[in-house]
Amino acid sequence: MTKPVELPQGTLEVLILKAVSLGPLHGYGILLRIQQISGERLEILQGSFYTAIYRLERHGWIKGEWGESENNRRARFYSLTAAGGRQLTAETAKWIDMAAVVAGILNKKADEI
Amino acid sequence: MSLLAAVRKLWPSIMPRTPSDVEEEFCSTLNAYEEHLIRQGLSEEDARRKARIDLGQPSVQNETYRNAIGLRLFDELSGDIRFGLRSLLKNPGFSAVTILSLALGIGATTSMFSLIYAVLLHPVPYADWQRLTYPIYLNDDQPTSPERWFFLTWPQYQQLLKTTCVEDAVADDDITSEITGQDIPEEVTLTYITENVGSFLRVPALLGRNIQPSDSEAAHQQAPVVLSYDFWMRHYNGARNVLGQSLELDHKPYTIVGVMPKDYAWEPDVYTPMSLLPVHERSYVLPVMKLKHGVSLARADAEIGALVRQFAKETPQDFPLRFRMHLEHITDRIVTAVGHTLVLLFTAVVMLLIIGCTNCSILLLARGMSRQSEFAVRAALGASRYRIVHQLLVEALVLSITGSLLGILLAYWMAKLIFSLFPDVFMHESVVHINLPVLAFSIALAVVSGFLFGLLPSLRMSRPDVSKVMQASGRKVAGHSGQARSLSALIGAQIALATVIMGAAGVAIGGFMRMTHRNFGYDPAHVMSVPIPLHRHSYLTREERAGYFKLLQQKIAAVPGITAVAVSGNAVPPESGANLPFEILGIPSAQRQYLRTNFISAEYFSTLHIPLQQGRLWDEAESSRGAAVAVINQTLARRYFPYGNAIGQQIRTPTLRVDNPEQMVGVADTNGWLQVIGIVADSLNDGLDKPVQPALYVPYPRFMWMGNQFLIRTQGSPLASLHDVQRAILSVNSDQQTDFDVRDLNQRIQQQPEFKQQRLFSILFGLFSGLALALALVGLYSVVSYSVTQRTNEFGIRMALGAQRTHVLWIVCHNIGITVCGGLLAGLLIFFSLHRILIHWTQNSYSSPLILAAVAVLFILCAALACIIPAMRATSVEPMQAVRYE
Repeated sequence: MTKPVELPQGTLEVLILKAVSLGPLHGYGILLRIQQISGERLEILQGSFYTAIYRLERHGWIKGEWGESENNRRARFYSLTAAGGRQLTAETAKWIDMAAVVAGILNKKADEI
Repeated sequence: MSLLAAVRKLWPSIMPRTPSDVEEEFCSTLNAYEEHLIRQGLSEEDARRKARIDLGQPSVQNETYRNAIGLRLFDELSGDIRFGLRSLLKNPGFSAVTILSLALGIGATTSMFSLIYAVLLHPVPYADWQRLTYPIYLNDDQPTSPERWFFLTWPQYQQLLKTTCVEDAVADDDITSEITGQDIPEEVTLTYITENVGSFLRVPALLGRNIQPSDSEAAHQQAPVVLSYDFWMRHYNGARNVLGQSLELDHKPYTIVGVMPKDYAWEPDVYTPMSLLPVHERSYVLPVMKLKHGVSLARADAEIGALVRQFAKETPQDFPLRFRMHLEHITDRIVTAVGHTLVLLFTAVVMLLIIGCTNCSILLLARGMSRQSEFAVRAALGASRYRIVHQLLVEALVLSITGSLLGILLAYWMAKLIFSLFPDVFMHESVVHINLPVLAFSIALAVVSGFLFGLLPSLRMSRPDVSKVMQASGRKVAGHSGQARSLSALIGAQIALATVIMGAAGVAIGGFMRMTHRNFGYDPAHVMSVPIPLHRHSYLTREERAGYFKLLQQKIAAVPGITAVAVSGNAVPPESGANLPFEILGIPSAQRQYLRTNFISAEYFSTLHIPLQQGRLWDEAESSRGAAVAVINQTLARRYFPYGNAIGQQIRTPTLRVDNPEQMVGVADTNGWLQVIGIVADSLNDGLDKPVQPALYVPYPRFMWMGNQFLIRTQGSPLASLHDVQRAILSVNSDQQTDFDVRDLNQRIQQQPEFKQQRLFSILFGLFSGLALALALVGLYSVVSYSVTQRTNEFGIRMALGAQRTHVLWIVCHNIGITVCGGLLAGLLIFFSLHRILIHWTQNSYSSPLILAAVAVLFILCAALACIIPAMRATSVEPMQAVRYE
């Protein structure tokens, strides 16, 4: 298995937003989905997961509500808010932009500078 | 962001989720993840472990949540505050000393600030008081004579109103009048004031109203009169039903329409509209001008100065030959006199506060050394240095805010005390109380001082050498040198400051002692002044009146215990004599010159122990017939007869006339030439701190009002003989009123405002310096006793190895001794460099090396005591016990 990539906290928040954008999820569900859509390649920093969740909720980008999970247990479900959607779009654009620029710089050969 | 969105954003901070809610959610996710891991193949125990590693511990989640929300600072702060309060309560001795030190410092500073705020920032209750000015001239030929108030004629005043820089002006002219219609005549000053005074000053009346413009037209009604507060209390005893009552002055009825409040001290006694005084009778008016907005004093000086010089050309006899005129703000006099001393006092209390803070710093440092292990553990558990400093600063702030709350109470009580003990020291128009700016100042002071004294200890204590401390078995063979250095520096600073304050107090007290023991020129001890007013329509002729007083004088002199009696018309010191213009025969003068005319009997000088220096005094025969002779004082002789030929010269006071035959009696030639027959030594006649005015002493039978005073010298306490004196008087005339409030001359001196002011300042300075000394000694004692306790082990070892007791004492004392002496020297150095400023500002040129020497000796003695006591304690312990001490 390839070495997992460690995530800084800021990007974890974007990923959570993305995970929740596809439908409301409870905490464990978000964890699973992130692992799913990253192809098991991301390792979340110890203890940083819930800090990110609390922060997102504080900013008002996700909304939490108590509900019942698949096996009839009480769980808190998080869904994306309108502001969260806007934030997700903005951050996505920024990431893509930045990745393109950095990749472009790193790919330049010596004679092209 | 809309309001709703903003509230929604802040809502979690205001109403965070409950800990159980957070924990429940976390646990549900934790369980789900565990199950997932088990499904993936981990054992139950491994799954549990991995789940907790990846997600975190349930018990910590609430904290993580609150951090993420942003409540971390709040939580830390409230925790620190609670911890601070708990440790306050757990160390009552330490807390008591620190809080008290702070309370004293902050309380004193706050009360000084409120005093300054009242006196300097809001000294009088008049509207636009910063623009109110009056003109003053300085006579170039008599630079030592005090600047005098200006008097203009009515037409000149009108011209003043028309200048471009004056917005408005009031003028007043006062006459001495008499309350008629009652049995005993009573003198009052009746002030005619221009009708615009109400809108000019805008001070609301206590009862009724002030004089207003409509009063100028009310010719048919009874004339209105407004009472001043002091007169209202004196004459009517503060009765509230005076409005509408009639007051008869010089046989003219007036209706009382108002009473002014206590801090409205414009002119004495009673006021009535200027229009009641016919224009031709208005001799001289005293103007006060309100300058227009934005007009500078210099510009007003120039314009009004030009106008005044024109007046001097029109009426040259009213102005000196060469003079300079300038405008002065009405508050200038007080501010200059008192302002400097207040600033000095304020500096003294700030120094007191710094000493108090230093004390707290020292105590915190001392206590901190015993908390080393606590901080080592914290640091080992992961607390950053910033976090520890933060906690210690909050503890310091808890101390300082508690101290400041106590200090505010202290300040309030102190201010009340000062003003009940010393009323009328300041312009009685200022009212001092604790108000919002003062409170804000005090809280700010508390915060600043908390930071001040908390910073050093917290920086020191937050860097524990963890390994060393954890290994230490509690024994210390020698103290930390770094700590010791800080402590020494703090102690030294404290002592230096305390020395400076004590030096300043010495100067203030010395100046006060000098004023009270100054040569007054007369001896006030054992002398009292008894007023004898005459009923109206009694003793109508000059001969009858003079004879009556002579008889009384003889009767009083016969009372046992009385050593001397003199009659005085207007000559009771230290302010005596009527200010009259005078002329010398053969020496004409282009401008008016003034002297003080005193009507006395010849025994005046012997009663007051004023020596006769040249010539002679008048005898009985000359006195009875009111001979045209006079005695002058040294100032008059030196100034106007510099060649020493005063005896035999002729002087007269042309304006002295029997204006009012119903009240006054006199010889036919009251304003005629008097022959100078003697010269007496100077005695104070213009207050305690002003130079002696030229004075003329005249036999009282030449000119008498409705009454005289008797100056009576007794062997013992004068007031003890008062009863006998009154009986002697009543035996001559059983109708004679004698029960006025009689004071002796020492009391009169003590009632002078300069006296009261100097006394207040020297008492305050003395108090502050005493406090400073006490605080410094407390700090010194705690440092020495603390370091001795620390070194008990070491002393035990030394003594077991053979050191003598005295040697151990020497060790303890010589270190501290160096600090104390260093601090003392630094303090003396600072004091000397500030010496000149101090002298200039307290306006007394009292500087004596004795004071400083006394201060230094006192300090060294007290410091020695503070060192020796704990040192003795240390050496008295058995060496074996000391070695085992932990």
